[in-house]
Amino acid sequence: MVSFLVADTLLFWRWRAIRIETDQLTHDAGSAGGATASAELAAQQARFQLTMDRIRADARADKGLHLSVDVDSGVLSLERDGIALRTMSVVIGPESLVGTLPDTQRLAVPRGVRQVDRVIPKGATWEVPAWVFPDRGLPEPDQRKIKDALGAGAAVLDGGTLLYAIPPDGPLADSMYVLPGAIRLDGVDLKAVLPNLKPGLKVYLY
Amino acid sequence: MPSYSLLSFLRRGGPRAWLLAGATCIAGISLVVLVILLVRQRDRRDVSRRLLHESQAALRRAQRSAGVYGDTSAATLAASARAMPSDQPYLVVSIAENRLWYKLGDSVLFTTRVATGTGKTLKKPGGKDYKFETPRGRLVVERKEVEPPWVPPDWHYIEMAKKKKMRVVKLVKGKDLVARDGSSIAVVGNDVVRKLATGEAIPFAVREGHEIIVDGRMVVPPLGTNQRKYSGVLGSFRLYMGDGYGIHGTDTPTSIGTSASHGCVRVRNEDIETLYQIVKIGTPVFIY
Repeated sequence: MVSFLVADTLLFWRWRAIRIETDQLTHDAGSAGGATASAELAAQQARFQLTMDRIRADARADKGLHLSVDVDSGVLSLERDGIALRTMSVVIGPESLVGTLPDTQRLAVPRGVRQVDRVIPKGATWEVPAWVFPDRGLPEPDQRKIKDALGAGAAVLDGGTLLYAIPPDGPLADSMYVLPGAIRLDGVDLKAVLPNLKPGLKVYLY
Repeated sequence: MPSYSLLSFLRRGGPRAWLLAGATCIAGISLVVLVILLVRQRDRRDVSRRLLHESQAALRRAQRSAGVYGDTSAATLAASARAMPSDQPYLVVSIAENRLWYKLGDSVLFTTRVATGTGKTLKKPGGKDYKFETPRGRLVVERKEVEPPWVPPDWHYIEMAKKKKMRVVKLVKGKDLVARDGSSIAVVGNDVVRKLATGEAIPFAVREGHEIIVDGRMVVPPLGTNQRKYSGVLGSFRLYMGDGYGIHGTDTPTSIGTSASHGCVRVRNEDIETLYQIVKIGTPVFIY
């Protein structure tokens, strides 16, 4: 009986010690998991920031004529030889899910290195995307190819990002509206830079 | 037999014996239960230990990668910042706005309105067209000139002849043009002269808008002659950028701020004087 009691007591104390240790280990593992998640997030942010910094550095190092867009600050520069020839305020269209189900598409804020794909001249006919009308709460017309829909002209980057200014008429003629995922310039600025935009011109978005 | 002994002990011992036996049984069962609990707890502890080790390894990896990316980013930025030229001033011309800036870094040292190319084209007889555009791109101030004469290019005579509905005839050194009145147009020394029948040679006095006209034809004097140089047209100074293009003054200040030139960058005479003083040879000129 006494032996049993002594053995019970010893086992209990051992069990208790191991349990305390287990609790501590579980708590530490939980903390380490949280810290890992934070560190991974920080690493992901650092990786993203590095990519953006890299693009910014590439833009600065590019000796040729190019456009450089600081997406977060909303600043577009026409640059050459590391010199900003013209710095302009722009509005970046927010990320948005456009269209009606099931034909929806997510238009993201553009980042990365792109090229001018084509230039739409002043007064040209532009096929307004179908989703623009419901997005703006306008009835969709029979004919979406609208003359002068982009006013002073525009440039289309590879990937479809549009550089444009507010036209005098048409579905985009609203200072409160920016096409999702597009870059809207002031009309004077667009007029000044558009003749310099040729297909193949690099555009750095960071 | 032990069972017999235990039974007799219980019988003889009464309730105390039963109590003792019960307590011993409970202690024994507890021992078994405690052993099981202990084994299971040790398993749990081992699992927790492994979990902790894995979490710590993952944390170290994540911290290492976060640190590496941070350092690389900083190094890249520092390198690119060092590569930036910042001590050389430069000129920027906006064709759309007809404005010129003289800048150092982001600071504007001087700015003024200018006149740039009209963008119009002129048909060249038997050749490609002349387009009066200011060239976009990067040029350099190659030299600075005082009281620069204007040597009109061929298009000037074609343009003037077109306005006056005339034909153009090129005068070649050594080949005189004979006029209907019997006189001839020739190059003597550095002058284009009219040779009279008496043998007298009278040099032509020319200025912009008053070119040599013989029998209804506009004469293009050879390059290098005094009649192919107009003074005062380009103002007092010129910053020559090569290929016939320059930044210069003007004799028509009302054209400033418009697209009025044949491709050069015109500024007011007081502005070209300032630019002549402050802009050095070799200064890059960015035209967009």
